[in-house]
Amino acid sequence: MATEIAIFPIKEGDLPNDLSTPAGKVFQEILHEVLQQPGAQRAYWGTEVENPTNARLFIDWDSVDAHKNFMNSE
Amino acid sequence: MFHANLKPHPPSQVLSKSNSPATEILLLYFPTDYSQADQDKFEADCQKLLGIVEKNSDKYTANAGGWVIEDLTIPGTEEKAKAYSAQIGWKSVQDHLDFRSHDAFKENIYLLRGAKDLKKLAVVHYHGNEVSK
Repeated sequence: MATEIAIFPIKEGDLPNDLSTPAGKVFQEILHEVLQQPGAQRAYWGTEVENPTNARLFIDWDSVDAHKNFMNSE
Repeated sequence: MFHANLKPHPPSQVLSKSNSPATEILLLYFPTDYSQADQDKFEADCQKLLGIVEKNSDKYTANAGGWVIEDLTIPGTEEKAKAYSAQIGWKSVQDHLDFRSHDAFKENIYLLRGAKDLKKLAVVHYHGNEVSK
């Protein structure tokens, strides 16, 4: 089991926690798509309190290989 | 993007705001050739510190941590490092900041900040949204 960790820049306000904006909805759809992949378990995300133009994303996978297989499939 | 084997797995208790309304997210950077003995010592010191936090704060909620599988670049440099990913849950960001004034913190934070050959420590907070299948 492994957790994928990503740190990525966003436009401030693009990922409000209520996901009510168009950008928030797109992000949620992408996450749901990723979570349909074999070996994907669940995800957690949020914007940094100290720097709202950075987002943190964690995705639990059965293994690092499960995530790599997904990346190679694209 | 990188990977870590966080313990415990899944790290839901610390990464989801349903249990941890605020999560302190740390990355600690060490030399790429940090020895297994040094890694073991650091992990033991981390667990010791977390035990002290749990005993001294009712605002602490959970933790998960582990070594990053890939070597990471230290922010602001081009230097590669072995990194440790640590997450600590709190009732609020302010509760974490308040704990920094606690004697138990002041007397024991050396366990983290004084880790052998520590090159950099980066910390932020987030309020984690969990998305299940």
